[in-house]
Amino acid sequence: MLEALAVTVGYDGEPVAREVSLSVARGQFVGLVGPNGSGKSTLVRTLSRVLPPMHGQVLLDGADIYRMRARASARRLAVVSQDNPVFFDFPVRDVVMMGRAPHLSRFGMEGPRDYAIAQEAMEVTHTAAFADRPITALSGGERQRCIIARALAQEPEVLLLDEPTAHLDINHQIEVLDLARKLTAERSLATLVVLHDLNLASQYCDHLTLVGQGRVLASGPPREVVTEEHIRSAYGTQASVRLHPKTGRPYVTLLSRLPVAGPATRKTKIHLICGAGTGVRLMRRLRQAGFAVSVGAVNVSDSDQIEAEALDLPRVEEAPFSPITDETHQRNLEMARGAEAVIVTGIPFGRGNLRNLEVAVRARGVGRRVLLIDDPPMAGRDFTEGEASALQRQIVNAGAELCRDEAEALARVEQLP
Amino acid sequence: MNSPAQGPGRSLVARLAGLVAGLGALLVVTMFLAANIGAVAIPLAVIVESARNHAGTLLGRPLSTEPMLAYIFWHERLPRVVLGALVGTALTVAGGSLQGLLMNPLADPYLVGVSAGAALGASAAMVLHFGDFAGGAGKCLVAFGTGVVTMALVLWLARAQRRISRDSFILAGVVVGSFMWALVTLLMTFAGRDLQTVVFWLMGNLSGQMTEVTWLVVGISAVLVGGGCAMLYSYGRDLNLLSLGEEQARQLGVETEGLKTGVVLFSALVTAAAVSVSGIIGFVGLVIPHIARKLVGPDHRVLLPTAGLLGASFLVGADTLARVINEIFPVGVLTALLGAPFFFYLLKTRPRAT
Repeated sequence: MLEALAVTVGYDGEPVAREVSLSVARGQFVGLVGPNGSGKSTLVRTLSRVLPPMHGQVLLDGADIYRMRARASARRLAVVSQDNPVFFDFPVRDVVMMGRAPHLSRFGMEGPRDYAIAQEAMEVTHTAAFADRPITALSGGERQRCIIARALAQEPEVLLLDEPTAHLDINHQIEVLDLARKLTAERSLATLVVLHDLNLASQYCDHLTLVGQGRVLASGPPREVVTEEHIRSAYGTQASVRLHPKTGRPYVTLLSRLPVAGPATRKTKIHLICGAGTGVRLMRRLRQAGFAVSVGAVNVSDSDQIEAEALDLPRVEEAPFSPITDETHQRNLEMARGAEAVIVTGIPFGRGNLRNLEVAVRARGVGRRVLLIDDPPMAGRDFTEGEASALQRQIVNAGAELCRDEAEALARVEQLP
Repeated sequence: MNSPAQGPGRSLVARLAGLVAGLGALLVVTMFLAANIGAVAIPLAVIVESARNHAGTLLGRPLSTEPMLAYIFWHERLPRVVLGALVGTALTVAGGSLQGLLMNPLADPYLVGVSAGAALGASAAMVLHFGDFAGGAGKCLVAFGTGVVTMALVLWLARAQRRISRDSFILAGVVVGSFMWALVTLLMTFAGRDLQTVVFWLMGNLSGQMTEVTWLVVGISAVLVGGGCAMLYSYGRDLNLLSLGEEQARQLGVETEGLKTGVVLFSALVTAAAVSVSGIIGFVGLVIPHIARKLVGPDHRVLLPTAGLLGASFLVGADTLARVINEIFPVGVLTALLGAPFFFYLLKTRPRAT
């Protein structure tokens, strides 16, 4: 069990991260995430007995590692670093065998058992095929796996992996993490992985520690740590976090801050009535098609609101989870009147947002072109005991266009100037 | 190579034993040839007979009158050849160790600045005439002394907060070395008639000090070189681990600060011992380790002993060649003439740059 007790780490008296506490128990797969410069690599150096902490202690099964001899700690703790330049062209087998060094006496020679351990380490990492090739002749990813094999040859109890997937293709990234997870379980290792990719961290780790702004921002299971709020405070960027349908873990989609499109090239302004994510794609497509787009009324923290904010569209916002107030409704009406066309997406309607549909009625009333996207069909998303369906019929009767899906709506507006 | 049947440990020892035996034999043959060849050819029969005579004196029999040839062999040829072997070993092992420590293929034993310090001592002794005691071996002692002092100076300069970084070490060596060379040049301007002696010494040769006490000099050198090289061999595995990077080596249990200090210390020691008896013989410490590495690979546990033996044979051979050209031809010139083109060839045939 590896523990860091309120360690403060840094260089030349300048702390990079303060009062960081974390622990990794045997059999646990813990992730350390955070933006560049947050001190992740520095923390790994401190945990691996390379950089003494400015304050605090690092304990291995209760014993301070900085009071141990280097070899004693090396017999129990193995590290795989980010960059692994190897200066001389040793064959891979020799490099893996170097992992046995902590277990050998000063002049002791490697014996058959050491050799067997190295061989097994190579097989488990799929590097046995390179055994006699010089390590300098391998690609970055292949070399990485050899270094992991070397770490395994140390027969560690604790494994520290500093961005082990850095130079690897996606398939190899999965392979490495699957391997690490499997070994952690099989050999009861205490594993700490530093990962850049939040989604991989979320998927593989039992426990995550998020560092940023020089301290621990969050610690706990992925669901608690990987949230839009935490990402905003750590990375300063918008993200959309959902639970992945297959893995049940949170997955992150970063929202671009780049303009999706340049200034509007068409004269037509389109007002989009949406919510609950139904308008995300449409917003972008309309902008890309050159239209000026406005959005309303959406609740703050609704995914359509986030996207509209990210795209910097004029919008009418309502407080989170609140029904649409008179004031908001007025603003929505004005915005709709300012547009030449109004599109209503397949939002579910309840008492709280029924007024949005009324905006469409009024827009049709003053001659604006109105398109209603009936996907999914209204019957399935009318929670107003029929009022929404009635309103929709009313708008259609008044000349609005009922579209089967988003594609049809887009096709219809395509000819607009 | 390593077969699955036997562990690499056994094959490492076997390989090493084979190499040592083979190269050792080469060295012995070279030395014998060297002793034989020269201005005066000494046939094998004379040597054998003389050896028997000497062996006889050890058993208590009286010493028979030595013919002149035997005398030349025992008191001029053989010491010189043995010294050549020692110097060759010292420079090569020091060079190879430093290349491993600094992870720089251009490292050579003179990087430590020790050679400049020894040169200063020797030059001072020659110009100021205080090294003439002990039949000329005095200046070797002085040179060794100044060499050691220089090493201490470089180590002190290179240390910051109890750590030596590679870069600061190289810088310290270059800086101190330059300063020492400036002093040497200064001395040379005052040398007057001794200038020729100084220049000759600087060119590097094995004939500088052949006087009665030669065997004493050889003996002391043997102890210094033997001890120093043995210590450097012991760092073999740690040097291997260091090639993974200093941090990784530390994470594997290597006490890197101790390693750095130790390698620098003993490299400097054997280099000082070599330079103080032979002057500045160039290229041996730079090129021979590379050749050895091409032959036996980068594992320092095998590389260093191999390189040592190769270096010894090389220098003895070069010196023999030098003597054939001219009895006092400085071997340092020859090694540079041979070494530079060979190094150029090595550079050209390197596999694509990493």
